[in-house]
Amino acid sequence: MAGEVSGTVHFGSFDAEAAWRPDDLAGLPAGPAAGGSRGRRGMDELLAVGCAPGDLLLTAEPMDETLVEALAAAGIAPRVAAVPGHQDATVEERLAAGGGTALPGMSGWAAAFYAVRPDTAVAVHRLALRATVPAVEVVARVNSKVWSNDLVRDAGLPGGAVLATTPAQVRRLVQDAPDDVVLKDPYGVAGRGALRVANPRVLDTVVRHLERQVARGARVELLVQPLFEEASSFSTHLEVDPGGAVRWRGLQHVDNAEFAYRGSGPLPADQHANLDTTAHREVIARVGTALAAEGYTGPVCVDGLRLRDGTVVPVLEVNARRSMGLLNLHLGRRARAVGLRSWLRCRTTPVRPGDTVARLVSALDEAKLLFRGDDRGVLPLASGTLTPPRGRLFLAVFAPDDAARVALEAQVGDLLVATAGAPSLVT
Amino acid sequence: MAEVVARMAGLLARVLEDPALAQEVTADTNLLLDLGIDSLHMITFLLAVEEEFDVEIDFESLDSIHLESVKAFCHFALDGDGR
Repeated sequence: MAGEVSGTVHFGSFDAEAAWRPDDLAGLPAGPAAGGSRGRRGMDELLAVGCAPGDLLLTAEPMDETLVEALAAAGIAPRVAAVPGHQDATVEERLAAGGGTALPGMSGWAAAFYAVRPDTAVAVHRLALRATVPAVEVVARVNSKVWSNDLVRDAGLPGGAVLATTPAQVRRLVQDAPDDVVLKDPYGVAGRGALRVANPRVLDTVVRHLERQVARGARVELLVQPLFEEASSFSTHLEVDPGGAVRWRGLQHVDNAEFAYRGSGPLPADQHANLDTTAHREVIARVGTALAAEGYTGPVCVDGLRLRDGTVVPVLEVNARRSMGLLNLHLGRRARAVGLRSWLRCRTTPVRPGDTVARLVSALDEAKLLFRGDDRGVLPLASGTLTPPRGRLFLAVFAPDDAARVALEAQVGDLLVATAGAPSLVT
Repeated sequence: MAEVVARMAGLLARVLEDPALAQEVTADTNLLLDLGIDSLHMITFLLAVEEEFDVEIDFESLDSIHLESVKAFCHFALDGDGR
């Protein structure tokens, strides 16, 4: 490879939990939903924010060229290529099936993937990339909330849940709880697979649904957790190196609405000081060491909570993969270089057929709100998530402080409400 | 049917936090393609339907075809297909 240009190839679909979830697990009540697989597939464009200039980003669907240009103007300048394949296939499945053969040569480049899915190792091999890929069985195990809950209970940390393995146990644990509880699927993510049980009717519905699945041979694994009185959410980011060393990467504030993810950003200074302590770093190191002992290597996001009574739940869930908070840490490095801070924001928004992210970029540019890499502004981050009639709009907001961030978001909202045909930021 | 559709529209307006839907939703409204209900809103809506109409929804049988119109969903959830 001497004398040849090399870099990193970034790829990965964001619905890894679905691939890890055993088929025989009983699920919580749910129904068909809009924007599912296609909208989630479009999230792979978000990986651009972690790319260095000259890196290659492989996506499942073609990325809007206007968005690629806007990102490049802001200093996020990977080459981008869509991987051909079946319309329902993930980017990993497309690569594993040989969909990358016509792509530019990248033999010997490093691989940076969102998560280890069943086809990730084959995809890395087919492209002849350099990467340590832990076994998918290991990755699936450590990403189960049962695994992280065992770790929490073994370590005597606050916030542990109780595992229920029968419908009758679910009923008893919920009925015995003094307050409302949350039932969590071991592989639930961002609102899918978590259900607040606020009254006996909901409990009856859950138990009835579980009993029907058990009658057909399904297993029950549900975590029963108190509904915490949350003051704020945060995430701690670490990296488990191939040798087992654990590296601290940073803390992020997490903005949630009920169970839905709304954004990541810097923690307020006082909260950062209260969390970035020797004790918290020791807890996080313990998580990393446990992951390494299982055979995991790679990025990790540990979700945590600060409760209204001041209690810190340092480990609510462990996500052994890349994460939205990690993406905002990447954005934060770019922001600091020009004296700003970054927020990654996500909104569900009405999208009409024909609306495109290109129109949004153009409107932002005309209003001088588009981030160009050197002054405050906002930057759309994905085009494929804007699926009609309601899509998800991911924005990076670059501002000197939270007040300026709020003002910028308000300006963007006003602009889009006033711009006929463009998607609205109004949730 | 009109009264049932109106009650469904009211539930959808509440769940989706869009008061206008109480007037805009009709018997022909497609819950996925016209309203774009995501997974969080969907389970909230389904549980609200159980409470509002005192029915038990068969979640395992619930399919996209039952959400192609409010009328189809009412038939599934209230007329016996989904119980």
